[in-house]
Amino acid sequence: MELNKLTIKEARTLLDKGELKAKEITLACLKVISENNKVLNACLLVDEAGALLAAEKADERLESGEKGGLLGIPYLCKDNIMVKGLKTTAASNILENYIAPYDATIIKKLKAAGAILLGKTNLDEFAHGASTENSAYGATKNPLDLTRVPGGSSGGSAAAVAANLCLFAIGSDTGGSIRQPASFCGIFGFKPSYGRVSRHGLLSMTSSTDVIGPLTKTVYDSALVLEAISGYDELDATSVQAPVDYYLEEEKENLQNLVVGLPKEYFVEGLNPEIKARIDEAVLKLKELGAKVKEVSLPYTKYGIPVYYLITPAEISSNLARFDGIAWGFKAKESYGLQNFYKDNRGQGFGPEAKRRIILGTYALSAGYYDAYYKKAQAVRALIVEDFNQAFKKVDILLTPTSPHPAFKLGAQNADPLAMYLEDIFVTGASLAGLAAISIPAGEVSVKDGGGNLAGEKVETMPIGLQLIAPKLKENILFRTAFKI
Amino acid sequence: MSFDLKEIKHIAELSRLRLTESEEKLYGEQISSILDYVKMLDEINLEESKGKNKFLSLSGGVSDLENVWRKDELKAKSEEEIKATLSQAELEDGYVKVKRVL
Repeated sequence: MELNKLTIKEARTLLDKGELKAKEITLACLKVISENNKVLNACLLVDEAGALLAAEKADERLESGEKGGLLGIPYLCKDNIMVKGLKTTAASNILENYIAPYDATIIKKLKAAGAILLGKTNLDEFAHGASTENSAYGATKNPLDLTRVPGGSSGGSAAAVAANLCLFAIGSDTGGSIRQPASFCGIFGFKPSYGRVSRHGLLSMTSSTDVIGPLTKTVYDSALVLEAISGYDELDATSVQAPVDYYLEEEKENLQNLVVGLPKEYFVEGLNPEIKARIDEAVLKLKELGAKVKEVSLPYTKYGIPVYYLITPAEISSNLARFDGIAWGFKAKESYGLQNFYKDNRGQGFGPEAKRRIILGTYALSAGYYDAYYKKAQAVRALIVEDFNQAFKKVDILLTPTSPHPAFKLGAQNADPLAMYLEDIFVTGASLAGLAAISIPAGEVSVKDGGGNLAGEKVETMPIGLQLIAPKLKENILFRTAFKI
Repeated sequence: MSFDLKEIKHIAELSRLRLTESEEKLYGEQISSILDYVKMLDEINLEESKGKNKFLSLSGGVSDLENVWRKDELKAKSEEEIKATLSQAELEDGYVKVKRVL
């Protein structure tokens, strides 16, 4: 048995029966990381000593009779989330040697649950991107085809789960950054409703859409991790005071009376026909299980990208203003005077995409342009939110493709920022509206010019994902449907 | 719409970013093409959209959330916590040292 390949549920059963030790799974994961990370570049940091110590503690708790949850389960965490005493770089040179002074709330929760942190995963710098090629520490490769990107910005987390470097991983999703890489790597990526999971200790990008969520091998595992990390937190001003449901219970529910909506704007020209076929198969399956399926319209869908790429840079320009090189972070040498010191630190410390977004955002917020860009984008955002409100009066859940195509080749799009922004076409809507969404593996489609996978085999197909979108805080409906696909 | 050199220099100044000449040129071109793309939003007549739904707030954002405030109370931090938080700062007598302003 290859222990690193276990799902959380499988490992849970063995750990609870005393047939397996947390330390054994941890060692198996650490071994696979050391064998494969040179090629994949999925992990930016491996905390072997910390992981083994946490595994020993978990084993003690298991021996004393404690069971269930995430006790003794090894995981990896995106490197824009703070873990006390460990480097937290956000894949940026500006935070090259930054040591986090405290634990993010979700890390505190995972530590208390007895989950074992193996290390930190690669991302697009400050989560700005859709391919993980914007990392200051090099691109992550897709383990299913090493000539392709894993998606992004949580590409390191997605690649790590797909390559079984861990049992689950934590990512962040601002405009698709968990769902799109999950689709590209053939795994499950869950984006909770805005406010469901505390963001205290997440390096802010777009504060009005940022969420933290799990990347897993099964729906069950996704529900299990979500139960562990959800809940109100007084340290996050946008945290929602709402009861956390028992998502695992949804597995027993049936789909009678469920109405699934297919938004026609998501099934447009340019969508890979094989992806359309895979989605049709999933729809048929839901129908056979008793669900009703309806076409709906979200007329403002095409404005999602322009709205997102005004609001996001605007919030980034403000959130990244704190990186001045004084209290922490990169310091340029030989700058004279405070203003020059700021400019040199930021000019040399940030990578190209972060700089582009800071400039675009500063521009969209500047006197004379604020009304035309930022304010207009916020108004259209309200129309997009209203689109979803209207659709959810007719249906319980929406089903769409996650991405219009499978994973693209490394280097294929990074010279053109706009092409990269269009990657987010099906995933920004749920982010702008703060809804719950998940990407589920929906089968494979054929690819030309396939490279080789991690095992050295020539690749002819790549996975694609389908996305379910549920109303805000209706994670229960999302899981009820996801369990059946 | 074009984002000219003068404009990008001005915005870089506001953003406290030192850009090289080649960066100014490249980002200027790229941001121009992004701004051309987002112009699409001008197709929407907001007054008309609002007319269809009188309850719609076009102030935008996530309007159903309320601000959460904490009490404005000073909490003492230990020296260890201060050092960890300002981990890469130059400290002198408990103050952070910065470059000269003038």
